[in-house]
Amino acid sequence: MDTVTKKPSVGLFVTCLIDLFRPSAAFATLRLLEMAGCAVSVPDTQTCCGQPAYNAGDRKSAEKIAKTVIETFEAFDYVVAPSGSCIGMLRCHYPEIVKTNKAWRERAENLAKKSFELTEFLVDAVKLEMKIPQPARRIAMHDSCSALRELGVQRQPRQLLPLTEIENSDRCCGFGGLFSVKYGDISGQMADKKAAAIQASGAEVVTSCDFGCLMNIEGRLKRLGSDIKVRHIAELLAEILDAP
Amino acid sequence: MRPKSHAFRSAAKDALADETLQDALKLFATGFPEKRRKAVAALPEFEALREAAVLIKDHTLAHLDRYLEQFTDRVEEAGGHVHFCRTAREARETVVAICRKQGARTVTKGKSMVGEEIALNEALEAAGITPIETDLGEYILQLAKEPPSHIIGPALHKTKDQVSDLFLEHHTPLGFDERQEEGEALVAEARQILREKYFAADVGITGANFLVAEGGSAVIVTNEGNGDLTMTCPNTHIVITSIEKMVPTLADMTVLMRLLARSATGQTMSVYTTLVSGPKRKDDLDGPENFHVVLLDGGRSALLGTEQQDLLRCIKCGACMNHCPVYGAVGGHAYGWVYPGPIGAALNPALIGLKESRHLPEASTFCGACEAVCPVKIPLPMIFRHWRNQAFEKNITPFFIRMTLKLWAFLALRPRLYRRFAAFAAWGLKKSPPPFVKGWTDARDFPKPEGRSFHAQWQKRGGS
Amino acid sequence: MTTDRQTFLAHIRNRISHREKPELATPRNWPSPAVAKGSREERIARFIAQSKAHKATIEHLADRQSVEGAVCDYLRTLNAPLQAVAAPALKGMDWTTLDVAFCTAGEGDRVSLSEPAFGIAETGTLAFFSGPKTPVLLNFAPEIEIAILSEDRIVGGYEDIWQRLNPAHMPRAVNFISGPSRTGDIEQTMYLGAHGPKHLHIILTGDQ
Repeated sequence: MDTVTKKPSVGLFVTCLIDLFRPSAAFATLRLLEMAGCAVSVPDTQTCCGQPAYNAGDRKSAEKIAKTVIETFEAFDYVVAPSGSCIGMLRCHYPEIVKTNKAWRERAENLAKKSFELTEFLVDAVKLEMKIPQPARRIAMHDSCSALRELGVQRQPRQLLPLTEIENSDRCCGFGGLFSVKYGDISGQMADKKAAAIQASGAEVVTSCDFGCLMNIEGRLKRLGSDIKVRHIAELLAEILDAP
Repeated sequence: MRPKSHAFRSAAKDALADETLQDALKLFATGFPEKRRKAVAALPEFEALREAAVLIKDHTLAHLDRYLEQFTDRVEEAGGHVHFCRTAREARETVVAICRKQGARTVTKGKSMVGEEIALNEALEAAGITPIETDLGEYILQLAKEPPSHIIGPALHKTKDQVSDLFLEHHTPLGFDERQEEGEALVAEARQILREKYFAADVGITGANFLVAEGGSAVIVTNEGNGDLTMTCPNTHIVITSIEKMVPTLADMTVLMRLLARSATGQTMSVYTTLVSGPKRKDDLDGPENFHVVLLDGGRSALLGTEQQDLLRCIKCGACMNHCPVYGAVGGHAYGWVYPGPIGAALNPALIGLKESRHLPEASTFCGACEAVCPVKIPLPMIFRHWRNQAFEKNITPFFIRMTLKLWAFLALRPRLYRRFAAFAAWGLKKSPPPFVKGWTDARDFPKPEGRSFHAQWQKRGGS
Repeated sequence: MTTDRQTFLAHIRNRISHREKPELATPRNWPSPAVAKGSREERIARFIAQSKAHKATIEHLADRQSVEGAVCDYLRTLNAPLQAVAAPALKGMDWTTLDVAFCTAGEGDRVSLSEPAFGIAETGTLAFFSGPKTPVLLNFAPEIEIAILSEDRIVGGYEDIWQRLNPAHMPRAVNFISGPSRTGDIEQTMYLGAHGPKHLHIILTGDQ
């Protein structure tokens, strides 16, 4: 294979939350991947990574979903999602979920190796070398737990964009999927602490690699009457690069 | 201790509304993690020690019978006794019987989580023996008639003001009738009162941080020195501990010791680390005549040989709870049993049953902060998932949640149906959030979709 | 009431019999801190710095002749009586001004003189081995403990201590002590002198 000229094929995993709530982040991701010289496809058999089932203890459903995701994406050179949490699922948990079957385990491990969260893909896999102009606004970064602790993504978003640090940026915002509804009061207090740290940073915008965290943070900021904007990092990057 | 973990949700709610507790937790959130971070940064070998610790513990657990045997032989050679107890009840009865045989009226106690686990104080009191807690935190709680809320700082949920009130109330009959407001004066007052208790007690009971098989040694770590006074002054010393504290050699113990204080309080070493190996020797000038080790299984052996065996690596440093945002929000009491925080959420289902404790592994965002700081790398989030899976499989998870998940999984496996559902959801959520997300909307606005779903837009564009 | 030893152990054995049995190298070769392996001078310097970090006070004397004077001076600064209980191990030294009783410490004793077996540079820790000449309570009962340690007893790390002990015949108690007693149980603030000594003074003596 001629690796110099052939564009790497990327399967874009949209993620269920972004599909439903923030399609613009997925379009931004597409745009960034194309700018980075990838041949991007959006397989139409994708739905969700199965994390809600897996985390709620429904392992059997999680296994079925994991297998369809593996089938859907294993032919690509890479699978990229604008989400640390979904990629964490593909990379860290699929091999565990299907571990009792050797063939499936190998397929899961193969997929795991080529699964990337967007910012780590841009920085580490395709080594995007683009001049990113200084953004006009102060942008605070919230490290999502999955991106940070499952994938080790911390340096990459900061390498792409100048970001303002907030206090306890590595502390969970309280989202946790179903946790945010089931233990809404605990989750709400955690979100409040996160919102306070963001407000204290003096930022006008807050961003993250995960939309789950962002919708939690945005919900709390809105409730507090704050006018801090909440944007997915894909949206910010695409906006800045597209600006005239 | 009678478990109250089933009431986690209401206990958590109360904890969130308790302003005094929230003040105490605010202090707590900044203290230990920062101290630990500095201590770890100052020891380049920390990560290598963690890896060694995992090897040591895994090895020990795989040969636990052998090391228990070696430890017992050594203790007996030194003139001590080891008692094997499968259940909390056996352990309680054993301790009470030893105390009775000594004709004990008062017993001093060092901090012991196993002691809490087997409800030792209640058993001693029922036998007409007065237990006196000597760790300052435990002493405060004994006065307040409360269980500990943290495994290394049992009274961290109490404010200084509350301690002042407690001391005034309980020490007035002893002649201390002035309300002390300075921490130093409170500590001095407790010191004075407990001093004579150490020397008057008939039996001293401590826990153990480690047991060293090759030396027949119990290792007891404190900062206050209360453990040493407790074990040295009375005629009888009882170590009440559990089987997973075992390590083979002194060299192995050293690895864990180097991790323990740094992970717990950010100290390089706690002030007092004592290895005690048997009773007083022939020409010794002090030390107890009788030395007993009460070894509790208490459900731990059921974890041996399973995927959750890693839990038995725990060295009870408390780092997981110090870094847990859920613990930081609700404190330790909400967990409803001896071990709070992530280790409790992972361990308690094994020790007190999943029915009682199913909320604990559910009350996690899977943020992974616990696993990241655990000195023995216990995969806590994976163990939470295991218990959630068990709860789901055994129908302990409520019916409504199970059905919702099944329905959702049904859709996730059928992309075309899923798209229709997404279109419906996008339309519905534009109008108002669904009623079952009240937990969310109490504190936050629910997100509104931008418009049509990504896939709907993508399809319309013809997929390019 | 208890489970008998054989039944208990058989149950444990039964639980783990199907698992693989990871072995460890003997003797062990665990990572140990580089700071535990310095030269004599480095060890002494680190021991002093680490002891101070634990809030022990320390004074360095050229030899053992001037120990008694130093002890008395130190006690005067604390307005303490010139009276102490001392480890019988210290009998060989000259005690003329100080009123010394060679025994263990009891409830009413305010000052003790102790002789640690070793000082550990790695963490600024004193190591005591219990025995007829080194009773344990000297380290815990009094309010003021003065530990007399000779420079050449300062070792690098804990491994050096284990080398000098036979695990099959451990002293009844090995006490590692790093600074004076303290508690953080009230609002995480540190207060000294919780139950053990409030003052730990180390007199480090040169090689005589």
